[in-house]
Amino acid sequence: MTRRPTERRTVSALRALVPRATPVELGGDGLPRRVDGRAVETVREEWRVEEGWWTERPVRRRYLEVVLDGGRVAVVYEDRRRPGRWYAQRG
Amino acid sequence: MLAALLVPRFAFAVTAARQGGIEPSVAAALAPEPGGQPIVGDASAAAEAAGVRSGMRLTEALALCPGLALLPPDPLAVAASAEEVLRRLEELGAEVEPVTPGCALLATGPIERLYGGLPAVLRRVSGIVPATLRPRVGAAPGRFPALAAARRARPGRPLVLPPERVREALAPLPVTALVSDAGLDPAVARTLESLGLTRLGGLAALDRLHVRDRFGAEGERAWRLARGDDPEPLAPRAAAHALVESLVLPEAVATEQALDHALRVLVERLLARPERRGREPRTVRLMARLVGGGSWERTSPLRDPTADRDRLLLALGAKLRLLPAPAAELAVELGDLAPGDRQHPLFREEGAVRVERLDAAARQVRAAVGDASALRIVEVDGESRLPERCFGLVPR
Repeated sequence: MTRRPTERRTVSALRALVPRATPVELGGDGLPRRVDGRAVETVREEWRVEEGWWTERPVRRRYLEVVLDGGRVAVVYEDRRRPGRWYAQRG
Repeated sequence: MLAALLVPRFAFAVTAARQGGIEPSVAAALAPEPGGQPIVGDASAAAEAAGVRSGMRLTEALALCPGLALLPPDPLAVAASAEEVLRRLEELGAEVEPVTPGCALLATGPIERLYGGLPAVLRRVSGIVPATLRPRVGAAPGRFPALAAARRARPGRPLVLPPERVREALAPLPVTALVSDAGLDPAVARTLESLGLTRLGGLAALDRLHVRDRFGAEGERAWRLARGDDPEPLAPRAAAHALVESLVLPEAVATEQALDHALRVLVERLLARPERRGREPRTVRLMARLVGGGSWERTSPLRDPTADRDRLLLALGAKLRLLPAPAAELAVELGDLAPGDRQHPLFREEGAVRVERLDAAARQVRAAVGDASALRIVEVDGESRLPERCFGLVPR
């Protein structure tokens, strides 16, 4: 699951919470093969968030936590209302 | 679309016009500010042709152009003219962001239908400034491209860059344009230049990941800007809440006693103004028109908003001692007026004093730098599964 932000937050850490459009290349199994140009070594976790389906702005996201080439961990999600659009976000 | 209005050498043009005008062939520049660094201000076209640049040391400017005429700077006239330009732009119905004196950005979308399309809006924007000041107007999708379009436009002939032409139009610009018009870190620009990347076209042609690996986030921002992608939104200015009083002195005054008396009269007049409606200023500004031409001003943010006559006189009096020459006119502005009905509790919780001091410091920073300079992180919906909804930024 997403990690909860701690109480002491800096503005730069807050900015990281805002989704940032990022290019994601998928493999044949539907899992990311490259994120923002970096090769994906492994997918650690996958979860879905569906919220506000009763409103005019529902949220449907498929989140993935991946380990990139070099060891960096990234959280990306696909906006399932607009398939093919991927975003990076820190939880 | 964003439109940019640019008046080249605005400070020089306004100062020269106020002092009777200068022949275009005369090499002239604004003299250093009294009591300030020995550097020249804006220069005429003839002086620039001789190599004189704004911000250059006076000795260097005189060495390059021995016949350089120096005009006494008049920051008050420049500020008043810049304010007049902004006010006229706002009268068009647009949201306006001041960039520098004589340069402003505005959003054209909301008013295009009002005036019958983008070209009509741009013609009106261009007509705001007298043609003698040779205003340039450009429009493009984004702040940096709009400013670049204005710099490239010919006086009186607005230049519109549609999205598909932005990258091509930016390509020949020097990398240093990102420093002056988009606030890029000068160190990044210097490094790019030292690697032979002197033009935006060369930077835009590189691979994004390579640029980011070598220069970090600031390099990536430069790369995006070079391709015409500037997501920074317009930051329209807030309505000003200030009161001004001025006093023309019967004869040039330099004695401390006479100046103190004039200051006291001005402060008392300001505090008695009915439109103050009990509000208290967070900043005070002292302005003077100097004998022999030119003007001078100093601003002082207050520790707490106050309408206490003695405290205002204390803050202004300290600035008055810095007056560099006898004054022919003195003016005081009470700025950033805040409600003055605060009540202090008898007992306070532990830590309340520290929080109050922090709030006061944040208010001073905002008064000195701007509203967006001090923000507080608040929890909006800590239980949300969407990270971006957990916290928000609000003014302190």
